[in-house]
Amino acid sequence: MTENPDIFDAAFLRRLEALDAALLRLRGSAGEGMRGGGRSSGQNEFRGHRPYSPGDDLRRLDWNAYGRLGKFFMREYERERAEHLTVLLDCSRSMRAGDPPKHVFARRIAAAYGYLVLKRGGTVTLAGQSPVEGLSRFSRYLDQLRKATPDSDTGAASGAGALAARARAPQDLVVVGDCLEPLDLLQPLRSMSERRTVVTVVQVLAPDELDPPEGGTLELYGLEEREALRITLDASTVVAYRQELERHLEALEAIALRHGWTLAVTDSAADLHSVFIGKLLAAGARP
Amino acid sequence: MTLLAWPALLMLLTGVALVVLATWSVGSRRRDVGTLLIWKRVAARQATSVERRRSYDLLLWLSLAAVLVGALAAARPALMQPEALPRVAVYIEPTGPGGQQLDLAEVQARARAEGAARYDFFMPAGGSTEGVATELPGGPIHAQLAQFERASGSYDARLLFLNEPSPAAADMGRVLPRVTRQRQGVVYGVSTSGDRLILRRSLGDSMTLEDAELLHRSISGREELCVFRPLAQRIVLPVDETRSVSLRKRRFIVGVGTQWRTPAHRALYEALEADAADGEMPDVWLGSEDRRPGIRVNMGERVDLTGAVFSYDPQHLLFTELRLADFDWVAGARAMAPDPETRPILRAIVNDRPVGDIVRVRGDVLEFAADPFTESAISSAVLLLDNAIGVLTGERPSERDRYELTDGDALPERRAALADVFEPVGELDLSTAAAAAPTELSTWLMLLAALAATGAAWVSSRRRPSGSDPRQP
Repeated sequence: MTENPDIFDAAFLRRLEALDAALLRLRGSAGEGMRGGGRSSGQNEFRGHRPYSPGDDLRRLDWNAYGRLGKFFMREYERERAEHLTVLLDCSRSMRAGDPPKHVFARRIAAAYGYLVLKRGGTVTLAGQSPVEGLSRFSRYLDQLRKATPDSDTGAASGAGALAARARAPQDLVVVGDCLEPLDLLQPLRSMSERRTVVTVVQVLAPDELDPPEGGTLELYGLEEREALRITLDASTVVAYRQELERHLEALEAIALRHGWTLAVTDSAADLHSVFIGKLLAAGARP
Repeated sequence: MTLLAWPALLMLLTGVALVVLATWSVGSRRRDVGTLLIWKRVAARQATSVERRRSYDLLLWLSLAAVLVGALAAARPALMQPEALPRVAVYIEPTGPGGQQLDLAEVQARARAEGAARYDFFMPAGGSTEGVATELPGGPIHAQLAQFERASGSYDARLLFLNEPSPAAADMGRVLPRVTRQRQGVVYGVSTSGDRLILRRSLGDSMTLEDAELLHRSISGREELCVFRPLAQRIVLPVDETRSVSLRKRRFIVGVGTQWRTPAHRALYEALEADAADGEMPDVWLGSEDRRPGIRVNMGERVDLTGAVFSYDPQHLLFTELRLADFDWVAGARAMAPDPETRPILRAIVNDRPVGDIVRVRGDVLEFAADPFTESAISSAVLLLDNAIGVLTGERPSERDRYELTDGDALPERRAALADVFEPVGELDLSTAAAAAPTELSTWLMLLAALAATGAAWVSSRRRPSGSDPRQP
């Protein structure tokens, strides 16, 4: 659970590029944006040009404009122009748990979302931070994520409450957290859904949270609650835990289904490809 | 038993390992988790599932019990007799009729007073021995002593309570008198001879009977012989101070047929003290032509018996104490033609040729060719009739017991009636006791350990996780 200062190292950035390339291959060059699957049809209408920035998709270069004007311009569509993604990162202490820690992988997912949005000319906002626009400012976004350490007493639900309190709800909202909290705290997300916010929830759980090993009688110390619970972790208890976790996940899935959220569950030891391609794409999202 | 036996030590080490494992299991270690949200729900669920917790504890305890009991069994514990008391076999000779013991509790108390030992009692069959003593097959005293000697072979000592001293018993152990005072006036034998009642008893006060006349009394040692003549159909005979038996007269009934109506005939059966049938079933029919068993006369045809000699078996019951010459067998000149279905008793032969049967038997009918009963002297005729009835019934009326016991075998044995106090013989050695074999407990303990292990296995199989995994990412 120690903080890794290099969570966004060069190797990670290369993996982002590889992820982007992989997504482009899967989707072709249709120029579709990064929003969830709820409102995509009929919105990829050509709107105009914008200057080329390093890292832009060369397949969208307008070669005719280059021939006429001698400068690179990128074709811009309605959806891309309107792309504004808000990322709500769970910074509660419970995200410290896991090996690797959940908050590391959660921030990498948030970083990947930001990269993909910025790569497509959109704007990404880490909840509680200033918006970032343009891929050249991606490092600024990463800095925001580096500072988002898991020290908060509350989970993503409190951040969602702040977003919901705004007069204008986010257009696209990605929530990255463990969602191990009473589900009635997700009420702000429900209200935002009713205000046409497209919600994607990426639930990151530690491997030990998904399949806890037996260990006799233990003092379980809750990082979020800062209290201990004495329990005998034998096989029967593990079974009971799995059943309770399954019940919690099913309840969350039911809420997501009812409100049109995209829900993906991953463990903190997974890789980005499996999350974005194996889960989010499979769930109908278009990351 | 020692726990230093190496299998026991190994098992104990296993037990120690189990305790360590159990301690490790119940000891608390810290594990950090993100949130207790799910765990608190699990804990609340387990708090209501007492059975599951008990099951978990049961597994530990069953395993521990199996190991510890197994270690105990490996130490081969045995149950030793704390103080090996000598075992004494006690034979008690009956004093009552039919093997009964008249004062058993008193005799048992006398046996136990001989010293500190474990006393087992042996008695012949017939008495109330159930739960009190081991039953011997019984028989004469020497047979009972042999049975007792064989049955008590494994005992440390023997004690015998006898009515009379016995050399054979003296070799077996200590012999004590069965009674504490001499028995007197106890009747042990009753018989009849004709109209005489003969009693045998131990010497006591002069014996008198109601409805009987004392004819004779003789004494030999401690035995007394009394001869009475009964004067009533039923005689009550006191056996000892508390009990008595009854005798009743045995009647001899004859049926009288048409051939037996004369006063001469009547005098004959009255001389035998027989009664004519008066609605009762006769023992024999006299002069009846069709009733049986019976004696029939004048069954022959007239035959010239001049110069006849007679063929007969002088040993035949019909001729017992009978002089053949007292009868004129040819006087009636009657003989019965030989018949293969009959058996001749007296046959007439003339010129070496049988001319007919004078007396013969046809089944259970004795046939006479003439009537020798009225044609001879009455004393001879009575004797002939007595013998003839004896041929048919197997018992001559003159020898018939006139009285019989109605209470069956209600008399004690002669030894019991003559029981007397005598000086004890032999010694009862209670100083040595055969070492009692220790009771080995290993088998039972191993069985218990196996049961505990089986129970642990069963509990373990029930605790095997069966729930489904939550969805995997």
